[in-house]
Amino acid sequence: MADRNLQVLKTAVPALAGAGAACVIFAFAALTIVQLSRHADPASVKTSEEASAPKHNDIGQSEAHKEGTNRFSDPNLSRIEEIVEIESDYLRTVTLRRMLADLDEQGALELLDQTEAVAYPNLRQRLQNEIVRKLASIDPLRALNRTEDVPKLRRKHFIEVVYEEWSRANLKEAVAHARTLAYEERLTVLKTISRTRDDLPSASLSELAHALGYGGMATRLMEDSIVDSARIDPRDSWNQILKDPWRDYSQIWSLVKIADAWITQEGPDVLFQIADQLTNHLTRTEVVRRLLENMSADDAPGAFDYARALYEQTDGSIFRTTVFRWAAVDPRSAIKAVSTLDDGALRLKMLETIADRWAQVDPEELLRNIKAFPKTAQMRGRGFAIGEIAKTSPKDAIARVALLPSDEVENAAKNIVYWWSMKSVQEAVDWIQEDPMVRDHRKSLFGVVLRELVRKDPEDAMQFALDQPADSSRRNLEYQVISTLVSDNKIEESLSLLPRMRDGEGQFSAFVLVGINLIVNKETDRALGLGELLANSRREAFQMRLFRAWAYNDSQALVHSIDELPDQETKLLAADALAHYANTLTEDQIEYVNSLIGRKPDRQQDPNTSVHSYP
Amino acid sequence: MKKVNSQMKPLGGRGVHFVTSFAITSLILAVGFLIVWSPYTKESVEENPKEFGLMETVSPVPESNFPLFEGSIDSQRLASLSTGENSFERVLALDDVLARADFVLVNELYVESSLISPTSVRDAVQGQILQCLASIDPVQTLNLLEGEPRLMQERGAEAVFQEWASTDLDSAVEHASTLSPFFLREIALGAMVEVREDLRDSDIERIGRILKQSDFEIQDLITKNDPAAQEGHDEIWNKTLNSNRPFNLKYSALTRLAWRRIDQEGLNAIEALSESLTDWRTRRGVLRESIRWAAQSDPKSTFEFALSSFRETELHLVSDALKHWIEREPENAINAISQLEPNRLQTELYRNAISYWTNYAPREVLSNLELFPSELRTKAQREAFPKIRDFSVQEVTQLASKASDSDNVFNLPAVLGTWKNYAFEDAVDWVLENSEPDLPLWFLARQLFDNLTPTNAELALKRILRDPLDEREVGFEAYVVAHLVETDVDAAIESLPRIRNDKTRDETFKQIALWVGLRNQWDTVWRFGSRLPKSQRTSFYDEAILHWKTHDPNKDLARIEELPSTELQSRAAMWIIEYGHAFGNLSQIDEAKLGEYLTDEDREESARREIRLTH
Repeated sequence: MADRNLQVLKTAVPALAGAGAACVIFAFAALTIVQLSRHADPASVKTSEEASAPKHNDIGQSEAHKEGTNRFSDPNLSRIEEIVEIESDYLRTVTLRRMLADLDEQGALELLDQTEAVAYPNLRQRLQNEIVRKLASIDPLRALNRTEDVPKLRRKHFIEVVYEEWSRANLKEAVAHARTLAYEERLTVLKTISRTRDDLPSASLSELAHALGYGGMATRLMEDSIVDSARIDPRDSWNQILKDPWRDYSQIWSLVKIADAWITQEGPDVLFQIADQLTNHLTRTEVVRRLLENMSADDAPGAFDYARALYEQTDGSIFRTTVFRWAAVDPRSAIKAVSTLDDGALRLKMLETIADRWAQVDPEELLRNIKAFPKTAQMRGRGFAIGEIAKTSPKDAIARVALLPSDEVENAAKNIVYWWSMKSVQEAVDWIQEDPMVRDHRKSLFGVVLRELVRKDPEDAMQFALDQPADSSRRNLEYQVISTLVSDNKIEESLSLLPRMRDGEGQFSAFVLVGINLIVNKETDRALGLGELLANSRREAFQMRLFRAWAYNDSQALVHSIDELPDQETKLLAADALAHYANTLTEDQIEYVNSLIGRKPDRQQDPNTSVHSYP
Repeated sequence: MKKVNSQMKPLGGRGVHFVTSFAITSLILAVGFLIVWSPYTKESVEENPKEFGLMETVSPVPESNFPLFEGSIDSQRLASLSTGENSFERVLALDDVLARADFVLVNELYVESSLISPTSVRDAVQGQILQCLASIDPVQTLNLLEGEPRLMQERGAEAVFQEWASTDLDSAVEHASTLSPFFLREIALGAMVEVREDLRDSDIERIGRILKQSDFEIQDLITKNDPAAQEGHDEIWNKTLNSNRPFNLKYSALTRLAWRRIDQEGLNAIEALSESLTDWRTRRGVLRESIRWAAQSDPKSTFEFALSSFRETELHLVSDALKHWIEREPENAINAISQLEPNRLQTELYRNAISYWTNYAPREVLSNLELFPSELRTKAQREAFPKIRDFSVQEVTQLASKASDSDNVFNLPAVLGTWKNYAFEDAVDWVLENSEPDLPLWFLARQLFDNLTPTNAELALKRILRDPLDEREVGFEAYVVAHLVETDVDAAIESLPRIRNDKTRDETFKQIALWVGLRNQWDTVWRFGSRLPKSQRTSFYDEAILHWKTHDPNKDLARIEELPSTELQSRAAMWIIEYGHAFGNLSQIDEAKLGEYLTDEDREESARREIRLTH
């Protein structure tokens, strides 16, 4: 028996050894495969290890994240510069949080110090927010105190993070501390608490707003909260906002946001309920218009049908965006639909909209189909289409102009030179000068290209204007050079060009324009000094215009400057200007102004009326 | 070989056992491993399509039969993840769960998370889940957001593009350029730029153009992400203020910076900003935008602030703040005005309040007239009546009977002008039944039939023709036809046979001639006249020409050339000659030129008239 057992053992040992060896080799091979696979696909790690990993501990205990393996954690990372190297924003954040989980307050603070070396401000802020969140979870007050020395803008982010935590953990304590913060910081706290503690009743929120010195903000915060809740139950939010004590007209933006969520949840038919429940006509029209605008981005024909159904309750403005969008993708269907509108004026307006839009999207096709439109729409459409063609080929556009009725030439030519001047202003100028077809419209066409000439080189633009025949009108080309510079806020450049202008109405208007701009910019001496460059005959009129502007904009400054004016005539002009705005003056000042003018005020008169009304 | 054999020999049967056992065990393990491993391998490929080069072909919604993870996390667990007092621990715990889940499970979590309350915690949890989803598959994450309310889409797109751009900017940009609705592109751009701080301004501009963003949006983004913006408000403000950007871009950037600062610091920010704004054009615009922005959150405080800071110099800012307050709480706002010192400022604010309030709620103004000083109540009524869009017949009658005659002269036409737009037939009825001797029909008709459509004309004619008409009276249809000429000449001509007596017909032609003559609508004159019998046509032409004439032969001579028919030219020439003789301002040359336009018949008539005049 013993021998037999020994024999069996002798046979079994090699077999067991073979099986054992196979197991060892297999285990090695399997691990290698798993390892390789993990390397190729980090996500699969969790699957292979899930089987052997222990079940999670209770959520919320820091051990849970430590023991679970996952595709993100790298236990060897310990410094911010290593975290920063992680490419994925999400992976970087998760890794940082895992790192923070192992750190105590001191460790987190050391990490916070390290973030100061991060060069990119947004990245630094995001990392710091995570660290401050950890610190706030330990002690919000200490976390807040740690950020006292950082610049105001960055501290704002920290206040938000800390108060998100604090207001949830202990609202009373959080608010008590907030009262000790600077006025601006309290606004941040108020907004953070309002956002974080949306479970607070509106009375509490209002009380909180008052406690922090922003009582007037309570309405806005409550309204924002109602809008925010629309993501979950838009119908309820809608009812809430209609019931709140504030006028719907002041809440249009909020109404639209809630209604938009409601439509997403229940379909566009709720538009009828929305329209019915808004009793104020303007509010209803505005809300419906904006909702249809949103809807038409995806379904313009559908939006048009709703517009038609809601037209009686609103007005024609609700059609515009829908028709505009529809015309871009299917103008023929849009024309067909618009042609069925009963209101003739609205129908015409919408057909013009289609022609304009079609001209932008496919000018050649519009021109081929222009007869489908009424006359006014044809004229506009042709003008726009030719301008559109000019964007790519001014020569083709010019050929089109030659075929137009004479009363449409100027408008179409203006469109051509407008676009052409942006690409090559000189070529546009040459065409205006050389083509007899636009000879009668040269002045207005030069006006169009002048803006580009001025932007390219103001000196050359002025020379160009001076090279044209003298024009006695107030808004001649020279004036337009100056006014373009002024509208671009280039006052100094306009000042340097004023002396080159030729005598006339255009020159006077340009001087007044620049002078008034200097006046309202408090450069009164320079403004009045401009008069020296004008002919004597125009000087008084110029001063009178400037004093009027000065009195209108800042009568007190003019009153206080009047004694410093050089002579009696000038003082008289100033006093006369002030007399036009007497109701901005005190009684003593009115008396002084009247004494300069030589009038005696009637004491029975209302001091708020103009001194010009005195006998 | 021999040596090997010699070494094998001692092993004998034990070697065979070892090899056999090794082989069998290996086979069993291998088969077992393959069975267990194969689903993992399949899953890892499906789960990480991007990594396996399947990104382009992967189906939008992944297969849901993942064998190991399905149902392994339930809603209860998710609820426990969201209820921790400490947000840092909660975030960590969720990180851990997400790290172990695949796309389908994370998606399930996202769906379940919509049940979490309060909203702020739900937002935080969903934000974290969206980031995780985006790190797995950004395209599918975006697909999942389709059909969600706009607020959710915005937040989702932000999370996706921050993550996507951090790892693969080019793909993110390419996909962003296809996003619809369009507003998501702006969100995507902002998210990408925020996370990719290595981008230069030129890169941001390039990407912005790919996403078809406006210059204003792009510039704002560049400003927002400027390192100076992280340093402090003043740093980025001054940098922008002193930049060399075109005026409109600079203005837009400053406005948005102001808004952001107001959001953070409240009204104090406006005080600080106003000190640095010395250039009047920028100052006026940016301060107005700032006041409007602040007033949206707290109109009362903004009004009080504007009143204390700008009442002397920039009254329009006070009015801007008042507008928002009136829109929200008009009674309180007007009460605040009544507390001011009675002077010009107070009167102006009252006037503005009337204008703002009547714009959106004219009926409320009428029922709150006692809030205004007695001298402004009539103004309030006059502004309110034309803005009411839902008058009833009874109300109009009551209004007409209560008001004095002088009030009716202003109020009734204004009411009719609006009333006809929403209840045309009621308005026509009312005019026919209630017109008084002091309010002639033509006066009311002007309000009622302005911009008359053929449909409304037909409605009006049917109603008018129902009532009998004495031969000595002028029928109301005269005014219908006369106004219809303005919008549809053919329809007006077709209506002529429905005119009931000669007196009405004469009045019709007189009215038409007056309108078209004054407006120089000669094409209309000719089209209408050419449909009339000769005798009526001539007197119609003469009537129209009477309204046209300027008594300046030079101008009239030039215009004759433009008239559309020889008959019309002849009548015009005859009258110009006649007036030329009467005023003595027609040269012989001009008379000769005019004579060339005369038909034989008119030449004779002209000669007859000359003889008569000479006598």
